[in-house]
Amino acid sequence: MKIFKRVLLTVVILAAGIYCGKLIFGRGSDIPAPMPTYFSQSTEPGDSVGIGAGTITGKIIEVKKGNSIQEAVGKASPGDLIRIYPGVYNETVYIDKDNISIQGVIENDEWPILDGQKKMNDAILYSGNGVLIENMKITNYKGNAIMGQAGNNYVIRNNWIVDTGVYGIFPQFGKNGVVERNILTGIEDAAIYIGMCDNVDVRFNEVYGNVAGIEIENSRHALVEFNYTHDNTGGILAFLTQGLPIKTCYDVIIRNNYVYNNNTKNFGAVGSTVSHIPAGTGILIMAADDITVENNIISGNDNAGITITDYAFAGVDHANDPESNPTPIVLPFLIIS
Amino acid sequence: MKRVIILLTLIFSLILIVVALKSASDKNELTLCNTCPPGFELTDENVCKLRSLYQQYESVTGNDPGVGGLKTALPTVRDGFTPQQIDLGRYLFFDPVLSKDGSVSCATCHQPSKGFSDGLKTSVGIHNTKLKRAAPSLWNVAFYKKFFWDARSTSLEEQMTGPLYSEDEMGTTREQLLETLNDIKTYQSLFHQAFPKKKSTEIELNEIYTALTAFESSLISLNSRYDQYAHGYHEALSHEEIEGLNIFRSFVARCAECHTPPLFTNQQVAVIGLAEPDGKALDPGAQQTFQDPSLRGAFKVPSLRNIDRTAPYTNSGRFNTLREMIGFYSAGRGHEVAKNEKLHIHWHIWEPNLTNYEMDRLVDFVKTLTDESFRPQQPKVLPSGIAIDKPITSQALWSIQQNTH
Repeated sequence: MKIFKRVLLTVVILAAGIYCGKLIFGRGSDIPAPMPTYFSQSTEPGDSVGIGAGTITGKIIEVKKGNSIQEAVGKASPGDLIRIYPGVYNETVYIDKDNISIQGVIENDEWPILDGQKKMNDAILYSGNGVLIENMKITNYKGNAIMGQAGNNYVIRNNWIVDTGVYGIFPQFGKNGVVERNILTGIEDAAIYIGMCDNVDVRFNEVYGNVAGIEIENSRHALVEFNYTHDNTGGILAFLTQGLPIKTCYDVIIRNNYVYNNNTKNFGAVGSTVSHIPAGTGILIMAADDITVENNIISGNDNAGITITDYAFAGVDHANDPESNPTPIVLPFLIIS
Repeated sequence: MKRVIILLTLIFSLILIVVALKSASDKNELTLCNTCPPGFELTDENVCKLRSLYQQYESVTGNDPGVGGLKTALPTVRDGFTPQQIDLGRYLFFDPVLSKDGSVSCATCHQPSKGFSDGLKTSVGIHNTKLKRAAPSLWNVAFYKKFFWDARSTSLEEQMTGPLYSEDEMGTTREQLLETLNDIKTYQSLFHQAFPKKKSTEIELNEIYTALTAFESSLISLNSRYDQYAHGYHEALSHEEIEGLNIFRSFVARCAECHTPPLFTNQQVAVIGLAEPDGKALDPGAQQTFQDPSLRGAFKVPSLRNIDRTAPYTNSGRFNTLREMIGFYSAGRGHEVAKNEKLHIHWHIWEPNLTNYEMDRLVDFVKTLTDESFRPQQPKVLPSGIAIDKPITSQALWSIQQNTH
């Protein structure tokens, strides 16, 4: 009898194992992707890495429905916190001051919404250092939801971004940044695009329904961790692109991500680099060097789970750059588990 | 006794004449400036170092490539020349004696009043030769790593040998240049002032190159109204100009991706797909420099500093106004490329579909990049004796050379 019970138990465990395995690694099934527990909006204070941004030393300025966020930024001094209450705000906000925090206040599931009505270029442009942007819903812009030029020490978190044109979150030429717990969809290039930056953590974001989920381009020392990238054309990309003033892309760690079912038809703009990415691309490393890919779950991407290639991949039409090496010179280090 | 008195009077008169002549010639002798141009600080080592508010900022990768946003470090600057070398370079720059027949100076194509360009679609060299490309501005060349539209030169010293010795531009030779300058006493004296440690009395080529580089490197334009905004004085720009700045840096128009602050160039070469004027054959640009067909039609991204002063625009002077130039970028990727050409157009060139309002605001914004406060003075007198602004004939040059012997 004992033997029978043992056999039964083994069979049950085996069956459960096969079922779970199919659930997680099964391809082409219509079973929805399981949601890992760590993709939830953070409620813990101090949960994010504090690196200067978001340190409030000044006054709190409140912006309520019908008022202008930009007017508040104009009045703000370094160290001030600007709180945005629920309501729709149709404007482009630019922050050319240091240490300004923009914080959406979400009340009873009602978000403050920046809506560009498909007429405006960008929701938020910043060039100041120490900028914090959190808890904003941003939609219907033509260029970017949040674009930074040269601001260092930035934190962009807990934002909900839907169809904001070319990019969703795009820090450029910035050092020391955290991009985390954002949800982005409907972007025609990269939802999260780290361009020509140093020392950036991209963590706990969910990106789906974009051409590219997360793209690290011509940047150094980037960590892409605990992100959920699904139903894009390509999930996570690390590129060394030619013809840009920064000539290297190295030391990028892509680990503990869930890269699932990135089979969406490519809807990138003609001439853009990502328009050449084949649907079904999980992780794509193009010409970048010294990339670590470890401990990710990569599943259901119909073209290839991981692609490592030179810049000529997929027929990207480009002029050569005499100062940039188009092939990966240090092979990526892969730990697949 | 009477004879002795006459003789003494004669000798005394002669001495007086000699002294008078000498003092007259001393008066004509030029002395080089011993202070630095504005924007530079004179150090204890008697060299001029650039001082700019931008030097308190940092860039992602240190100073180079010096690209970013409002408060970003400048690329490494060429400075450290002596005030005397800079001033000697100024005389050389304006002196047509550097050309084959004394008719063309550097300032002929790089006129200070025209943003150090010449207002022509393409420049005109010696013997009224029409040249192939437009004269680029010289503002802020101290920061550049590549020169010429096709990026074929990597230093100012190397660059200047192009126009100096081109038969179509200044038409001189190394031998003629040395002979001409060595024959002019004032230049001998000036070179001695600028290079006091030199052993030989002969003027040397590298001294000419150094002096011209020193002067060109002093042409700094970093205090426009835009710069005042960038440093934190936000009232420096009007509402419309700030709107223009936001369009400029947005990823819809993408201007700032190549015309990147603080220099408003990222110093790369790029193919933007411009047609040639009047159905001329396509200028291959950087394809020739790098012997790379993928760079066909690629040109160095020009800075937009003082762009309001340097019309017409592009390497071939295609557009007379900034508005027309912006219209080209908005009109769609590759819309001017001939059917038989396969160009690798930069991916930033796309179809931004800018509205008329947006294009007008972009014009407003780029006009805030004007700053000519450090424009140097033209010399009143040239060491060669050639009247400034009045280029002379080769015969007159010959006579000047004879007189200075």
